[in-house]
Amino acid sequence: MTTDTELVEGCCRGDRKFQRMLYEKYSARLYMVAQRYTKSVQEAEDILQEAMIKVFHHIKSFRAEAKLETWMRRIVINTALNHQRSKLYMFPMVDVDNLALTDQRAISLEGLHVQELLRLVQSLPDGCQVIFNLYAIEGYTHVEIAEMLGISEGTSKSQYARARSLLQQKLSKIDKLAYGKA
Amino acid sequence: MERHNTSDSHFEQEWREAFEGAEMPPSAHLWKGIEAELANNESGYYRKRLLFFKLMAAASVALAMVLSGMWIYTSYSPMGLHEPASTLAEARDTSSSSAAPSQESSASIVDSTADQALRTRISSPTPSNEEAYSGNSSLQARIARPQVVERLRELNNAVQAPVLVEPSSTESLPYYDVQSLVHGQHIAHYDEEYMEPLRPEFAFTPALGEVNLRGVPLVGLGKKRGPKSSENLWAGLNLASGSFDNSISTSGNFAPAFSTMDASSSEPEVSSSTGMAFSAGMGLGKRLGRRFVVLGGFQYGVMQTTTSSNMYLVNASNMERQAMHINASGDDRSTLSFNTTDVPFEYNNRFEMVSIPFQAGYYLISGKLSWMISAGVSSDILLKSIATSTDGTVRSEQRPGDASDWRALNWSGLMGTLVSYQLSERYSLALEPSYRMGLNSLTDTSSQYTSIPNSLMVGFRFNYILQ
Repeated sequence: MTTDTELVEGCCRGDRKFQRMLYEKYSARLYMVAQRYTKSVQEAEDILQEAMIKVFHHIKSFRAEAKLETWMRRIVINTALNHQRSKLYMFPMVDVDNLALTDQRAISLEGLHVQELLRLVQSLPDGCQVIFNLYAIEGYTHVEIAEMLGISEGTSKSQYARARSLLQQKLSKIDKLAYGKA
Repeated sequence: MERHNTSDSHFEQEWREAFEGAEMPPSAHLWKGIEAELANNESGYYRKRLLFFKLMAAASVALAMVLSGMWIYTSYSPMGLHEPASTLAEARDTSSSSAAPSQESSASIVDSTADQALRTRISSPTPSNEEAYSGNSSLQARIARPQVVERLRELNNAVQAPVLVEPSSTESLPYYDVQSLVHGQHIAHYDEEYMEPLRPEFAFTPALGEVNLRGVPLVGLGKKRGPKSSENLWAGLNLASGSFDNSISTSGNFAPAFSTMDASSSEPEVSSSTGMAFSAGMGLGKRLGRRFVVLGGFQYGVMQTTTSSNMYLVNASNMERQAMHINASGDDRSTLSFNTTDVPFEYNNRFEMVSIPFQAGYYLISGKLSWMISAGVSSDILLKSIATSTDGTVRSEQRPGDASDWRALNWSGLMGTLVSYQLSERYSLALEPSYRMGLNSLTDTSSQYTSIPNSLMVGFRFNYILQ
């Protein structure tokens, strides 16, 4: 098994064989990340392709202080955000304080397949989807998200609240359906 | 990135765990797309280099156009046609000398003063002309003004209605003299308007003043003589630039050269990437027949390339590492141990050399616009080699000699083509793509390195036509 260090060295030399190996090792995980930030397979593939090109171009600047996967993942996220920024420019995010958060009870994700969860995330409006991913899954703070997306912290919080509410509503429906089947 | 405090909710925690390590394979064709884009980016690098050559060609064409424009501007004044003074003077001298015996005794000799006056108005003399004549008593003695005017009128009529007439028994000039004179001075265009700007050298020399133009074929008199369409002997300056690859490789047999070698060292490797080359020089060309030419000259060239190597040396006295480059062959190796690394490093190689090329050429098209193919050999004298590490910490300059791996005298094969345009009788401009392939290694036989350079150059040369 080729180690990450060997893969990096091979890619630094521009060796196509090592580039392919690196791609095969991480593409599935990175593709899932790209999927979370997009709404279609085609869009996710575009982002992954662009991100992989960036990875190969900048791999000489990779320092072993971080894990290779983490570094690549951040490139994918940044690429996805660049794509989202153009959408957000057209439809800027706004505060959504007056949301009717109807169902606040906690619903467990247990028993749900990751594909279903992905579909739920993809069903969120663009702004909500990005902020949900950044906050809930990547673990960024609202201050960081606000800085990354050029929005206010309040907007980030309200959009996240909306995302969470929408997801809970959807999960609730799934939950009811599951009970109904049972 | 700092993860926010996850104590806020079990909700986020669940989502994070759900996607932790989640995978979904992308479609199989995605890698092909990535590979194609990578290949496209790599070729983009070469396209950038190609752009350089295109710019060179464009610059050459622009230069040719500027020079052509300058030549046209200086050749055609706003009012008339100027010939080089030397041509006119030659024509005048020729006419004068050949006609001298019969002219001297004639009363129709016109000197430059009379020419000056005549230039102002010929067909119908004005009072100022009269003054010009009357103000010079010696001239009056020598010039029969009505005769001159009559002759000029005659000439004017002849030009307007070019008809061959019977030769006169009184002709004193050979045919070619008269023709060259008439050609040179563009008599066919003369009238009040055109005569005005002509220089004193022009005008009506004694020969013309006296000559009887009967019998002179006037066909084509008004045609401007174009530059010669062939170059027989020329010298020129040339500038060229292009790609250069020193194609370095190594036998890897460094064991005897160093005090120690790391047993765990991997195979020594060295490779070079394509760099740049510039050259400037002088050239000579001689036409041997209608189609064949020989070309020679000398050129000074600077070549630069980047070499990648996995070899380094460790100084036993201070344990300092240094890049192992070809110029390091002159170092005291008794204190150095040889190692290789998995991550190769790069250094720049710069070569300076003087070349003396000798080529044979063949004109595929010969004329004002010519196209020639050429091939030959060049003796290249290596002046020095400079190796510099990319971080600038190592710089080594070496000249050919006993203590270095370099050969002083090297040979290259040349192959190229040349498209030239003759700007005027004396000048031509040429665009010259050429390929140079080393016939021997720049390193001597005892070296662990081999370097057979090659270069693809595009240049232009500015020629002065001697014959």
